[in-house]
Amino acid sequence: MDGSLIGFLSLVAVLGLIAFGIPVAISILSVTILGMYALLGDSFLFTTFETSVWASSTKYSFAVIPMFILMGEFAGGSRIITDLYNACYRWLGGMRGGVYNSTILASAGFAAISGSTIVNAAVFTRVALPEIDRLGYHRGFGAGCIAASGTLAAMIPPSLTIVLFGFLTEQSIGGLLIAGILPGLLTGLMLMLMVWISVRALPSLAPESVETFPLREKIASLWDIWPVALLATTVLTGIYTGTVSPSAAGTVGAVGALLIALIKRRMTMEIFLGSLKRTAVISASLFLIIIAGLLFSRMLLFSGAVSDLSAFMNSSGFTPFTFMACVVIGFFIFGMFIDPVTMMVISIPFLFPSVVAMDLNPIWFGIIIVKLIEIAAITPPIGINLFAVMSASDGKVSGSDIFKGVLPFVLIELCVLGLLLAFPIISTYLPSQM
Amino acid sequence: MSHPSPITVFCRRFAHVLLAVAIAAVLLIAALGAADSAGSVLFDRPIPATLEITELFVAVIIFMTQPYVVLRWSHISVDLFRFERGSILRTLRIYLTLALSLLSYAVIAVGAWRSMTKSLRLGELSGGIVSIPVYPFKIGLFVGACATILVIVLMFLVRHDDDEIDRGGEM
Repeated sequence: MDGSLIGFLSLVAVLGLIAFGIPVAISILSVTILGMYALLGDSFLFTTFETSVWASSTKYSFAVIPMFILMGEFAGGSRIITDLYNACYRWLGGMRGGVYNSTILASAGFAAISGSTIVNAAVFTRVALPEIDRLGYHRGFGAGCIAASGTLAAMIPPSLTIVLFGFLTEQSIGGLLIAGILPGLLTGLMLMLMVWISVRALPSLAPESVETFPLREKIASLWDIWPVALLATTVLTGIYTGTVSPSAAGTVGAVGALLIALIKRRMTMEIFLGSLKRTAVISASLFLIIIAGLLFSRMLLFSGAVSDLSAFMNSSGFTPFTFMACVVIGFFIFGMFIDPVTMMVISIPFLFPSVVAMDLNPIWFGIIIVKLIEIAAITPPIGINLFAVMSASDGKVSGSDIFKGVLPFVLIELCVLGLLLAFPIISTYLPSQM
Repeated sequence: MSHPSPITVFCRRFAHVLLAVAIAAVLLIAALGAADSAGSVLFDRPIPATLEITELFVAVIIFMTQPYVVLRWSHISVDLFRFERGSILRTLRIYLTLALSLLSYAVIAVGAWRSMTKSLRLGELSGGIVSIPVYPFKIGLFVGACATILVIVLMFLVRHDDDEIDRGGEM
């Protein structure tokens, strides 16, 4: 059988297995094994697994994943989010729609110390949804707001999605993380602007009466969040200035989050051990997907499918514009059904060689992919953040509530995507200053 | 409810012991990395071999946790279709997952065995200022892969806990 055909059939087989519900890592690994065996025989297969699995597992840069997860776990477990949310609400609660905007701002703040969109959405559901109900705000719109602002963790460093893109494309993790800052802030501002417009256009979304707080109380609320601000600033500054590597910054962040929790007397042995356990389990699951993705891309290279795809695009007169249009449309459609990590791991080995061939900026391309993944995370029917919110709401938020409520946020995310596509400098300015 | 067999109990305990090793590795990487960063930035005194130790212990985190991840159905998966409990498609999905997992971890174990024996024969050491023996970590990779295979074989044999399966697949 033709090598390229085996490559393309492998992609179809991976998608089929994942859609059937087979774990992502196992789907990719087993298809890679069978593909390698069919293409190059058992000797090549075992030699590749002998060398590549060990080499892929022992990369210093990989340490960034468990450390960023641990930082978020310690921060989340020690009620830092509640402090953040309360502080934001003291300042923004006086505005109409203040609960929504407090959620967005606090979520952006937590995104600066946590890299998981799911954790962000789930934790904010427990913190902000009761407030949304208590104050008579629109539950569906509020749930959509929580899900959408949760995706900020995919863009604002320390983002696991960006780290994953860096591993798969062998780009600078530090540069990519820093590149996410401006697009992340832009997204947060646009979400807040959308809330501001929505509550004025549709008064039923937010009650007219608002809670106001005296200035003294507002300033006092900042005292509770200074450790978080210090931690996020230390981690980001370390990466930006190159003083420490992203992995080392992650270790500082994790230990810093632990110290903050200990100083605030909020760290119990249960939270401590639970955080470590979840970190190990999530890291191991993610790492196996990454290792599988790296082996899959190697198999595709040997099959000739990637070079054939590049040659096809050259001969068909694909321009960077048409290529990016296809990527955006493809990710938007597949993003409705496939989870973000999977989509990235199986598509990047095919797409990235063409990005290099077309001389597109890899950092800009990475940020576009992350933005598409953010959108996928909130696009029904398989928006992973929508499920995180529904699951964390203990049945208070139904599928139809959140599917309707999130639509305005999907639209504004598409506007941000348009801006990022039209003005690459938003993504490339900060990395160029490093 | 029937009592689990001794082999089931042994597999579960073994998976938990290996998870505890992985948790210790997470702690070690965090503590060592933070101390090294503080030492480098504040006192210009980095801790030797931090990089090498971190690299080796990342592998410990990955492979020592695999038996537990498989046992708890914690691998990330996409719930595009929900099948009724006891339906043919649900059973097919469970056994296909186990069969493909067995294939994947078996090939990883073979690769790990070859890598481990070579490392033992050569007395492989890590590069850098402090030389660290690499073979114990390669043995760890092999043990992790074999323990995962043991867990999968066990899961083929015992009745599956549907609640556990439903909880799995979420991060």
